[in-house]
Amino acid sequence: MNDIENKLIRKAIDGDVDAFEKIMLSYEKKVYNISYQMFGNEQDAYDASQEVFIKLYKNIHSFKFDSSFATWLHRIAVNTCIDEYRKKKKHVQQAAYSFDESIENESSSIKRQIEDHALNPEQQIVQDETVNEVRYAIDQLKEEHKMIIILRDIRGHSYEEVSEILECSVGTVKSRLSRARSALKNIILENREQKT
Amino acid sequence: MMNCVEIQDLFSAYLDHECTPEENELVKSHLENCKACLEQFEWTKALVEKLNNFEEQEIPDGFHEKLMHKIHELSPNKKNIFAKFRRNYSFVAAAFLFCLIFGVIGSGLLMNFANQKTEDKVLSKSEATQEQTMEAPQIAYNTAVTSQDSPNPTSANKEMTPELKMADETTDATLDSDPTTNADSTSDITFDSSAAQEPSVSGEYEMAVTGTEEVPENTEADMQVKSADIATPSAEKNSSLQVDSSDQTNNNQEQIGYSGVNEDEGNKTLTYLIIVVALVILLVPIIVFLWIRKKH
Repeated sequence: MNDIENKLIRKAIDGDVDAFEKIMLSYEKKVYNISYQMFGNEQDAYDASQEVFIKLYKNIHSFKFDSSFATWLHRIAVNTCIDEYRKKKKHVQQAAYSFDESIENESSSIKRQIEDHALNPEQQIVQDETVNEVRYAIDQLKEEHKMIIILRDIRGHSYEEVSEILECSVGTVKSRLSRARSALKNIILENREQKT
Repeated sequence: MMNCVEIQDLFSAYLDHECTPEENELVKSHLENCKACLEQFEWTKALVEKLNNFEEQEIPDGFHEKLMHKIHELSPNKKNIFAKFRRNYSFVAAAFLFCLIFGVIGSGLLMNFANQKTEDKVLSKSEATQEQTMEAPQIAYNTAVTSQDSPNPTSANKEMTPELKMADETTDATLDSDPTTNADSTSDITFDSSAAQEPSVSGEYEMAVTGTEEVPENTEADMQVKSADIATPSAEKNSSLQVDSSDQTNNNQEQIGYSGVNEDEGNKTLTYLIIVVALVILLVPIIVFLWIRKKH
């Protein structure tokens, strides 16, 4: 498997688009799912995943074959998703700020509608209340906690794989994951308290 | 003994079986005794199970197509490849093209040249054959002279001129007699020897004949000496004749060789030259290409 993959990577490095497409096909779903869990909606996940593969295409020549390609690609995906998420969050915060201004000015109801749509993630349509609750809580986690929950609990990577993707020690993964789970639990509990 | 907060920090690792055996034992024994912590543990366990059961999302329709379209459309690598090729291999490409074009033209010219040479060779060979057939009797004659002269220097004279043969027979007959009797013979000898040095064989023979014709007037001893002396220069003469004839044969052979064998060798060299040139044309760009590739 690795030999075939390495051959394809070498071809892709030499500019073979067909070889790149073959690599892409085996990782598309994995990357899209990380992205989806990070953004919680199809559109952002879609855009971020496309960005991941475009980055991969542009930087595949920098893959050194001394580590797992899957790990390397996951690292690109994680970093891209975190970057895009931060950009999005910043944009949402700015939009929320302008939304407040709009109310103050009572000038733009259209703008409010648009921003409202951007603020409401897709998980609101999800039928399962529990899943919806958890997903909503995940969305409130900070990026590093969110990512480690996605990689370990949702995507099912081992502590070692997570440590390689996030370029940290297994000990760090252990402690960070513990904190992330506690934080998620607390958010859910807080959210329940707010509801009641 | 660990407190509840410290134990709850280990829940995450305990769930994933990532605790050390000691930690594992501590958590296990604590959960058996602490209901509040057990409740918290069950809570975390349920949460992680929910997360584990999150459904995998399917890729939206057209995701792959759009991405491939973007990659093809942006095609930065397409341009890069071309630029890279232009940057790194333009020299090789130029050299290859040059060698290809001039190689084709050059080998075509060389082949034409070779064909012309072959035609010339065929022509000259036929000419040479004609010359050979014309020269053949002469060679045969010369060879005959040489071969027949070698065992007996005078035998050629015998065959060539009947007069001389007769004189020689006389010489043979009187060979036993004393050679130092008459001084007159010296002049004759000189005459004969000078005659023997004449280039023309027939003339020489004639001289010899005249020489011998004059002999009967002299004494028998004179005859003996003279003919004995004739034998010596005639041997010289024959040897010179032998040289001449052999030279002639050699010349003929050389001529034939030049028109035949040497031309064959020339064409062979030309063929080798073509092969070498073709090999160089093929190998040079390959070597340069490999060298550049290795360098990069």
